[in-house]
Amino acid sequence: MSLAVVTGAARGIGRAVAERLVTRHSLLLVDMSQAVHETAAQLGAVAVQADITQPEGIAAIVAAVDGASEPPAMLVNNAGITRDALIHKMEEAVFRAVVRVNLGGTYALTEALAGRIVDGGSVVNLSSRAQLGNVGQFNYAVSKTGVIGCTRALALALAPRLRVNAVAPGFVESDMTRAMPARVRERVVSAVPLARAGQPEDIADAVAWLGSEAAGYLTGQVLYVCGGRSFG
Amino acid sequence: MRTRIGDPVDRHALRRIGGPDGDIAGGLVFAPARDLGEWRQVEDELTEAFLLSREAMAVEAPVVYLLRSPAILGRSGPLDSAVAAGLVGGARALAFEGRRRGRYATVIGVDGDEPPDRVAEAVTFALTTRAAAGQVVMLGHEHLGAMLP
Repeated sequence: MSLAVVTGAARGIGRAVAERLVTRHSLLLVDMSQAVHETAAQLGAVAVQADITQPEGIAAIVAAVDGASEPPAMLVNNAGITRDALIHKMEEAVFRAVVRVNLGGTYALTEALAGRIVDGGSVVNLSSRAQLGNVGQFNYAVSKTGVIGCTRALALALAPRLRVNAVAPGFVESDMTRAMPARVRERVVSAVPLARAGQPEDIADAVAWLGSEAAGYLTGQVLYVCGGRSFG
Repeated sequence: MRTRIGDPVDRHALRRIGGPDGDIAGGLVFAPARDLGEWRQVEDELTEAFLLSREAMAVEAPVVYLLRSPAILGRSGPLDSAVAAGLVGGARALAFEGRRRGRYATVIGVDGDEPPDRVAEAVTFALTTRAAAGQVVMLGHEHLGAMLP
């Protein structure tokens, strides 16, 4: 089996992606959280606890990839954070933090690993439906639309050897969204044409498909997995 | 009007409608630097756009991001495209968040072959009419046949 690298893999969407990919790839799971070791142990994967915004974090991931028994065939850039605030209350440090993790980390790891991914391999980046417009998410929108720009440019630069695509999730169940007040949550879900929150597995299925041969003629594309919210 | 223009050609084109010391209450035009070579430049360009946009929004001034069409489309280096696409998302976010207060932000894409006067006219039109909030208005022909991000 070829290797797949998944960031932000300790829980949520990243963990669901790892669970989907484990049947066809050996896994290298990356996360800042110590919980990545437990997730990796459960899936028979290798764990790297690393910060993708730091050169030493990228170096640790590269070293783990180079030490694996097979080269990577897939990279999933899922690691991300939110730090929401209305534009007039948003601090510079908060803006930089979100852009640095969501966009800078995606770029840095892809740049470091692209040359190591086997011919015919695939990169899948996590964007967000929120890049089309949300209140209090200027930083997040900039970072996640930036991911799309990066995806398209890299798709052209790395074609025909590699495919680079993005998935843009909508409202997805997570520890954070489960903590939302019920009325807020109901209002958000009521705006989704499919009338439910997404599950991490919904996003994982899309990521797994984009990385598979079934999506072999797609590159530079953004797949919105948001229950129709991107236009409804 | 306040302008922060990373490219000398664009700076020349817009000199008659504003400058780096202009009053931001009259509007903001932000054009990022090009040919970025490292991540730090990306973060600094986006952060400067954020700080100026926050200042403009505080006085409900209109914001225009003036971007290169190839960068918007992904036909440039990944760092230039990351900045350009990022600001497309930024304009959408500003327009969406401020929609009930009449706040305005949009993107004008230029392909590099546009006469300077036409660029200045398009910017002036956007700032004065506040048309196409949160949209990408492409001048020239680079975008034809391609999908916007």
